[in-house]
Amino acid sequence: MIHLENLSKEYEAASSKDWHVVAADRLNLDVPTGEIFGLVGPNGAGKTTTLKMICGLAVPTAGRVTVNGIDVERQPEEAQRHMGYLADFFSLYDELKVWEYFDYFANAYKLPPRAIPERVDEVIRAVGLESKREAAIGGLSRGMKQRMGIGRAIIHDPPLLVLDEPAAGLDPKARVELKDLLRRLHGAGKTIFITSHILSDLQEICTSIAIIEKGRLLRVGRLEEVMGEGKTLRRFRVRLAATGFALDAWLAERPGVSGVMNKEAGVRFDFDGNDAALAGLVRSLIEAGAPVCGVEELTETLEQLYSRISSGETT
Amino acid sequence: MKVSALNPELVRNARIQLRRGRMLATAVICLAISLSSAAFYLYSRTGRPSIDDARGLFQVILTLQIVALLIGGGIYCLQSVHREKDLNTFDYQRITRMSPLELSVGKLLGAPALPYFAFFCLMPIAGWAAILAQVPVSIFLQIYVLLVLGSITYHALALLISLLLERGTSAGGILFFLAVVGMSSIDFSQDGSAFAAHELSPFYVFKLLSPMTQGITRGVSDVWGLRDQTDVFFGAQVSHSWALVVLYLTLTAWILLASVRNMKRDPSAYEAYSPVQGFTFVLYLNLLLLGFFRWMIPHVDYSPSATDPSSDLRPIRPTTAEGLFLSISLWFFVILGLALLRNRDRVRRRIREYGARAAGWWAAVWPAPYLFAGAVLAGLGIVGMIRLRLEAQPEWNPGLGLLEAGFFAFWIARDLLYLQWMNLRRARRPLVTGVLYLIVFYICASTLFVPFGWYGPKGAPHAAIFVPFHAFQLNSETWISATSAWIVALVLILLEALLFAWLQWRELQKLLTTAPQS
Repeated sequence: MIHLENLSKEYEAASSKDWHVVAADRLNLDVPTGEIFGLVGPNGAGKTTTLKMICGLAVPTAGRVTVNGIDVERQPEEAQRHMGYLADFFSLYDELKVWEYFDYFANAYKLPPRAIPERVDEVIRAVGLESKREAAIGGLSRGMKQRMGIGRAIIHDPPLLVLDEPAAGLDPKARVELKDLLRRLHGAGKTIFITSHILSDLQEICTSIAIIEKGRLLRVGRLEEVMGEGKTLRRFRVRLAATGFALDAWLAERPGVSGVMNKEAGVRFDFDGNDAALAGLVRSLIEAGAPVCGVEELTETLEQLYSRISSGETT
Repeated sequence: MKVSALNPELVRNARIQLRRGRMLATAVICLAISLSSAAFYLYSRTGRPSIDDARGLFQVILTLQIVALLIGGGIYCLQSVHREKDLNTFDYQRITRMSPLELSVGKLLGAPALPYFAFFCLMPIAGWAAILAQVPVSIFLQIYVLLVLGSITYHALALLISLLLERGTSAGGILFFLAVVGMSSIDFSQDGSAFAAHELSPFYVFKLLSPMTQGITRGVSDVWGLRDQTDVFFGAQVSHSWALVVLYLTLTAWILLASVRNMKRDPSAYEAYSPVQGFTFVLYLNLLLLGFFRWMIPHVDYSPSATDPSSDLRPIRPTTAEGLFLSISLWFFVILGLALLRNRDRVRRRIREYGARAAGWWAAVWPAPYLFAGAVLAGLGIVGMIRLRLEAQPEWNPGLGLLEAGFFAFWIARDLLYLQWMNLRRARRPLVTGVLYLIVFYICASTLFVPFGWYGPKGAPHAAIFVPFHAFQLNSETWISATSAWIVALVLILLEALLFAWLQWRELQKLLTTAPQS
């Protein structure tokens, strides 16, 4: 769906301390159709600039972007028919009513005039704002406004949604609603390209991610691949119902077990084996008389992965 | 087809501007103004209102309408794109399928919807006052056609300013717009110069009433009021109102073209006109300047012996005519030059597109070729017109006129090459810095000319090396007295221009070596 080829963007920022900015440095990326693709990076890493180049809103210094096979720089209007865009902060017309806002964009996207009223109602329903149809946008909550933004992005039913920090500034309830909405849109066949600072949200909904820093891509791939990259061992924690059993010593003697650490919440260890081997290990532990009350796999979160591979520097 | 489908941007603006509350408030204010004006008229000092009182009432309402539409509407247009950029909603418009023309027209006519509404709310009282004042229907229609068309032209300019403004500079934009309105509305010269720039704005409509007000006020301006209703364009008499209609329509088209070209572009890639469009526009402006040039200028007798200020028309001197024409034309070329300047981002993209060719010597003389060609054409135009329109005089000949035009062309080329070099340097706001340095240079140079005694005819060739404006003093006498000095001055200006071209070439080479590859 999206193809970036040696995409670069350099500019002089008048207000920046380091005024020569390389916002994107020879980016190469493919986003297949049907993905929810997350772009992760610190502030100033080049996420928004990359998104704007994908949408044809910023001209690259070098390289090429294609959306659905259409060169965005050469045929921006044709490419833009295939995408909906949401910027990184709330930007609506507070004076308009909810339906007027969608009506404006439906007309702006040149939908057939007869189909517009029905499409406006459909989108209002899709973003759950039926009861606010006649309300002025200025009076809506932040969560509602963000859903309106997504409604605007889907008004012309594009196959691709490009969302820049859609969860920023939303309370937990609104974030849950937003995630549900994105899942529904993904289920309806949309490809979603999204950036977010709330990495746990991205981990929940994304199928693929890319980590960007100083305009360069550090990691790209399917979420599980990126999360598992560089790791050969699985990490587990065992908790006992009572003290008195030398669990750490017992584990240290087992084959495939390494890195045993006794923590307050239990004993943590790395295990080189599949699920069947793990089941055998747990069975042996119980047979040895250990009062086992819990065994859990400790997976690395996206935050931890991001901290591990990113220095957190910005351009 | 519904209007919203025809131009969604127009409808969006109208929906926002014309909310019930705002319309009601505006209507109430206009009603209060109308009623109080009517009361003031009906219960005037004399008891029985005269036609003069009615004309006064009409002029007051007309002033309010002009202020509401021209200035109020202009300020709304100034905010139209700039505010969208601040709100971050402009990108959403750029990404839709609305054409740049649709967006531009929607903003041009939609953003000032409330001022238009106020303007129409004042129409009943204006019409009533015009009837009482016995204003002929033809004059009434002329007034309003000029007012609306003129306002649209100024609104188009405001829209373009709004589009090109950077964030945080809206106050500067408003000041610039008001300055343009002021300069094209107020007669600063008072004695009738070779141009009547103050008759370009919709405030001119008061002149259409001036023959009727002769009985009220007397003075030089009234004499002009009668005469100014007719223009001379390349020798042909044309009605000033018709000339204004044509000017408003063509200028609106030119200004709108710049908005349309850039409306959906990345702001870092803004380019008001393509080089050919910009060049053609400046030639058009020069043509207007030349066509409307007043070869007969008034000679006003202000001597104490004169009992009544009077004036007669006398031919302008050739040296004055050329100097005046080139001084005004200079600004057109400066604006063209500024519009053509390339920034580092643009040069990088050109290098990506054309390779090393975009950093060669031909690229290093940018934007001089267009400016030089235009300046030479403008110079030839004025020299030719002086020969046609004015009688030969010993102080001036076509050769001197062409030399003066040469100074003019080299001057523009030199300064714009300097600014282009500055614009390519790695610095924060390099163009602003370049312009500031240039201003400081001209102030310092002009100050230093005093101790060197270069303000007189003898020092003019030396002064012209730094400030070529002094070449506009060129006449037979100054030429004969210092022929070689003038030639050396011209060659030195050319060398200065070449120096800046070389500096630009160096910057281009640096950019070429650091350009990212596609």
